[in-house]
Amino acid sequence: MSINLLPTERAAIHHEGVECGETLADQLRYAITATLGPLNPQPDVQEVGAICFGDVQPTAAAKKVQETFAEKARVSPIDFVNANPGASLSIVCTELQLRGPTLHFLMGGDAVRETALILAFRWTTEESAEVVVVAEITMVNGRRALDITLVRRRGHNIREVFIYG
Amino acid sequence: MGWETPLGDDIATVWQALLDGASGITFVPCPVKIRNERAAPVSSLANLGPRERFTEMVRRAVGRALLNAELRGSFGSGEVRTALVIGTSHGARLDDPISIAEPPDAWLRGIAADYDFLPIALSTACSSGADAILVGAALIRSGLFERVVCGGADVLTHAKRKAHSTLGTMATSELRSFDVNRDGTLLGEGAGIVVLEPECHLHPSSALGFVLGCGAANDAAGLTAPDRHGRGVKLAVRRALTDANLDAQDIDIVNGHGSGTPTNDVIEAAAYADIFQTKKPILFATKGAFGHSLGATGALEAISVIQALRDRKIPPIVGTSCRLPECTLPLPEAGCQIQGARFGLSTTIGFGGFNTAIVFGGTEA
Repeated sequence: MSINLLPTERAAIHHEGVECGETLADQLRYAITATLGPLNPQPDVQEVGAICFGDVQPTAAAKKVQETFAEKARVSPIDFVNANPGASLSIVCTELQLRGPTLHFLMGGDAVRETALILAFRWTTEESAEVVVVAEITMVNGRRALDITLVRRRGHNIREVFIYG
Repeated sequence: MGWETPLGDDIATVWQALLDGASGITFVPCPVKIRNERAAPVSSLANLGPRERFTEMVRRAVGRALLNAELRGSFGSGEVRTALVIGTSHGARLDDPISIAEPPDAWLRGIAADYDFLPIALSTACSSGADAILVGAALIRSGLFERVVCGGADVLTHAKRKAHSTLGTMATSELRSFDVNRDGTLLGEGAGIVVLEPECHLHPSSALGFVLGCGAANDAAGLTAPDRHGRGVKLAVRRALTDANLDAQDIDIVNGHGSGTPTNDVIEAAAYADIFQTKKPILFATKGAFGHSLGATGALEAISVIQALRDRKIPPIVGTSCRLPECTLPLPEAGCQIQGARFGLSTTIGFGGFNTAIVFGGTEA
């Protein structure tokens, strides 16, 4: 079972050593901005959707909630909302004002990648979105990699890979 | 369809309890101080810890859904390619040390392996259950899967209750969806599962309803705050209507998110007022009966919409007595009948701005 990504400019451009902050949200925002930026004309942000998946989830924030609750019988509201798996995607949508459909998968792998692309093609075809950012997040040798595919209603799809750290 | 709810686990029995105006919200002690110790637990699993309770709710609801769909014994052969798509907000990860050490999808892999289903886990806060159905519908339409078992689940835990108490989103007394006197939500737990198959594979008498269209949109307003103008809700509903090839005036009933928080309900009600300007569908909500079951709520509400279209009845909104002035849609009274209703809408709104809407058709749609 496979998805035909063509027509796609499969330019795997490695942005090695990009330092733009320590959080996943910062890195995700940079990758999305860098990939969307060259599009001409620019898509309406109301019609830009995003799907995130991979093996990076906010475990540290969830652990902090658990430990603080166990030790102090308290929960920080900030830690609680940051422990939401979709928090990074939400932050990026807020900063870039993206109002397309959004989804966050709790896992990575071929099946989820395929599912994400099916959704992206569907959303662009049914006109829920002009562009859908499909972001796969993985750790490669201790460094975070963001594999970004822009699925577009019109024009070529675009793929870029960002490696941080 | 199958569900585990604070009112029980049998579809017909729980549905009748909803029609009778019953509520599963009860006193549930919490070891730390919170605004309100009322919540909606699945009492049959009260002796289990969060991780076991969460997994067991999913396992039971999946099993019941397959049983109700008369699909026993047809798994593992590879003849019917099936995906198991389940959404949750946090599951047990905020309270259970083992859960936090496991991969975030570990709870689903064991259940999927029992049936030889392909597991897909997602999380979009309180829209998780609805988004799992959205994903399931897309996979069916793609032709890559002949069957998708999908829905949502979440577990009531002390840390979540404390968090909502601290956030100020917890009600001081009752959960009153779309009511003038609402002041917050009360948490619940549960699981809701539906089995999706392509229409062409179904025997006409076996279909309970149809997923006609799905839409989603982000509020782009922050991690907890909804968009004050309700743009995300309106976009999600309009995208779902477009996907279903229907107009707003075609919708007969709406199951609203109706969390009971002061901000959410007024924004949601105003959004419906804007969308449904000519014909006014009946608006109902189930959180006064089930509590706010977070990642499960979208799936429980989807099942409620399908049941309403099948039974041609709508349950009253438990806890609501004085409708919000911004709410222009009629609310159901006890014993509300909806003869001739064909299309229903379910809307969910989640932290992080995740809005999802699904249009369902009854079997006579």
